[in-house]
Amino acid sequence: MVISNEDFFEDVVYAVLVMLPVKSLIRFRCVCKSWDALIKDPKFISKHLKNDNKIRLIVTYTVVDEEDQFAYPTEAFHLFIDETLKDLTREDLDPHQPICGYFGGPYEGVFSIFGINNRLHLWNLATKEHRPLPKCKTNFPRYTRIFRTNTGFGWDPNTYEYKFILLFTLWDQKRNALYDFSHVSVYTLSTNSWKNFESFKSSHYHMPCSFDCTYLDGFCYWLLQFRSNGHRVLLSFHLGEEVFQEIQGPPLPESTEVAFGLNGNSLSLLILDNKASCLEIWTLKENNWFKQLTAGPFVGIFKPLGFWKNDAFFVESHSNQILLYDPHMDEMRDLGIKSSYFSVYHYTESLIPIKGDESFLDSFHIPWHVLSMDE
Amino acid sequence: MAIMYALKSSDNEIFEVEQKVIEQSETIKKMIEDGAATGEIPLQVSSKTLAKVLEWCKQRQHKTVENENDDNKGKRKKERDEDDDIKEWENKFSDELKADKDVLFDLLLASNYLDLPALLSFLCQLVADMVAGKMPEEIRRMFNIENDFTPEEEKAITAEHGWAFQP
Repeated sequence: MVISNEDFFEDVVYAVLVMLPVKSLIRFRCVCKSWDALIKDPKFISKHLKNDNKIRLIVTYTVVDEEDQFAYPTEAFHLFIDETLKDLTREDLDPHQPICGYFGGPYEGVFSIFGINNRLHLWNLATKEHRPLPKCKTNFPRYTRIFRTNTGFGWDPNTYEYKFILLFTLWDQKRNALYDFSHVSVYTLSTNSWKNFESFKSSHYHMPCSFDCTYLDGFCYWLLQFRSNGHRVLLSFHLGEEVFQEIQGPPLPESTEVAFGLNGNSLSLLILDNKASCLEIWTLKENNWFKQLTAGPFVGIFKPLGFWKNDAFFVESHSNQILLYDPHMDEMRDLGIKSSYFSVYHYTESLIPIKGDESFLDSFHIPWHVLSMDE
Repeated sequence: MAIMYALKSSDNEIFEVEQKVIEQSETIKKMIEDGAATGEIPLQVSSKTLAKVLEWCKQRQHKTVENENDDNKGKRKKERDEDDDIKEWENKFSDELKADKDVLFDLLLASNYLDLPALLSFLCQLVADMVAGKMPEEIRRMFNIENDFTPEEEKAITAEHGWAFQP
């Protein structure tokens, strides 16, 4: 379709701005009022995020001090600068963190941090903005306490809002068992307020210790297991309709190691078949799972970690390395970190505004046990 | 024997081109299908710009043909080497355009008029690379944009995000 020159130049400006890094865009808000308005527009911000070329890799891993056996292990938190991973230079993100704590995400370039100061923060690494969240006032049933908290984040296509989700798994102190229902609280970024939901029945799930949310097209997804038979199941939450749904996972042996995430633009599982020492990618298309790829057999693979671009994926080896496998080249590459407890995350710079009103600074306290406890 | 077409630029220069090369342009493809293209095809593009457009189309055509002739085995390995060649060609093409802003803008217009989405997105990326490190004042000059902020308003944005204005 051919359009007039004036409209066309407007389109070119849009197409160019969408490709730019966050730092340039923040500077270009000064160019003129219409650029300022565009760069702050939620639809532009959402479009700016959807550029797979810009995805970069974040790796976290545990560092043990070999000299001092009594020292607590610490967690390293690194960003690889080159989005193609040809160059393996990485930047330590720890000094950039606005507060100390356990982080969740990144979701759309935004991290959540459970601070050791008992505050929950959102943090946008690219814009350097962060915001302490107001107190989440939830009434839990009597004789229950928070057993575990999990998070989610995403864009509500109905209201053009970003929302942050807390899933509370509760402990029933009378029965000394997990409470049958989980609680959900949803925070809306633009109104800076929380909303509580009807709890949902969760006693038939096995909730793993940490499970990251995967966001796609208005839904948050979490990978869980059924208690009864160990089968995998995806729990989805629609950010607009605010309803939960289940999607059955593919039939896998209970003990199979699985990583869940986005491969390209599809919900996918990366599976290590221990018997055959092969890795498989299973992809969800129109509510059906199909096996998209089988690679291997490999020697010495400990567990699958997650996806990269063009069907490539990360695994951890038995000799404590993080490896990147490219199925097109049939090539396994060592990323040059020797450690353990690796996690991989996709990071895209984002313009999502996080800056909050300073008056919220002192209003949020969560009890220590929100931070997580194990069974 | 390849079918050839004659393209006529707005300043009446004739370019003889293979059908496969010019059919990348949806606009010209449609003109040929509609039978409007007997003899010379008149285009609202200057000869200088059209030469650049055709240079791009020929390079793209070259790449597609080679890929079709490959069998799958070892294809990726070969692609990687070819990618380096294409990169080199693209870098040279980009450098020429960066040096002459008018040609770049004309080429943008031509890619729209001739409906060449691949060229258009290549050029947008090129412009993005060119502007990424620039200061607002340089951007205004480049795009002929008037600064409609008051000095106070502009200062407020600058003060809030000082780090973004550091080189």
